[in-house]
Amino acid sequence: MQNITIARNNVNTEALDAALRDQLGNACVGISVGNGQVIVHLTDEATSAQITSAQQIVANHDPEVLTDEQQAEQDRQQRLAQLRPNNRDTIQPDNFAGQLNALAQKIEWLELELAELRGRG
Amino acid sequence: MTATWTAPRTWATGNLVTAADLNEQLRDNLEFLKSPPTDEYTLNQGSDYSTTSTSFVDIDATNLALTITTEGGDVLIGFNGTIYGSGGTLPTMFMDVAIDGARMMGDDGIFSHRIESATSTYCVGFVVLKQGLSAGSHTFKLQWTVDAGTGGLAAGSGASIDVHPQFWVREVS
Repeated sequence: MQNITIARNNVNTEALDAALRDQLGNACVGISVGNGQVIVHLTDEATSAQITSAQQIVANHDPEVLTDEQQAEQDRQQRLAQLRPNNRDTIQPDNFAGQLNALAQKIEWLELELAELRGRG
Repeated sequence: MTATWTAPRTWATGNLVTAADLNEQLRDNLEFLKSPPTDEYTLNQGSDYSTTSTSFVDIDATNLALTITTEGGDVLIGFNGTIYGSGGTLPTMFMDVAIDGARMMGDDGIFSHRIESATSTYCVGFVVLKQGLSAGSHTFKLQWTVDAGTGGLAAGSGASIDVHPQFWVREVS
């Protein structure tokens, strides 16, 4: 394994890993972050061009740019925060007689709460 | 003065016991047993550690790398910390210790822990015994890997939780 160490702080580990794997494919084994540095783990077969590419990707990395999954998780948390204030009471089935849309909204909120309990979207 | 170890001698009737003998056999050896070769590092870093590596790598080749010079025998190795995970696929995290560059346990390491929730943290730890280590200087490096996603280790930064993991080694025989 070749370990390419680049000094930098403030890293979105998932996003940087995704960017490196997207560019380098199987040459990238992963990254490690901490102690003020990023270490890109490349296979022994990684070329000097791939090493240079990895260094550039790390240098140009913007931690504020989220992955699609991170964005979806952020959106889910925001939606959950919006729905919780209106769903504090226990469900009363009689309240939903002929109220299919209201029932659907209740289900949406429950789905989000379940996902939150499971710790993922 | 750094304690030194001398193999206990077998005494015979009539042997002259000198001050040097007593100091070597009793004083020095007892002092060595009181303070055996030990190294430790307690994390209080500016940021947590994270990894996406699917092969075992050093968590921190500078700080979580301990060195002791042993007299030959057994060494206890310990670690405790708080881990967490993130990603579309949450990881299973594995840890091992590399002794002089070779992973102690091989295979999947000393332990694994499945991260079930991206909003939970998990207390992990181990104590293992390395037997029959040769006399001399030895380096112990804490290593980890994940099978997917991102694994994290709280390191006292206060960014998530402000706990302080400890990695230590001590010669015990």
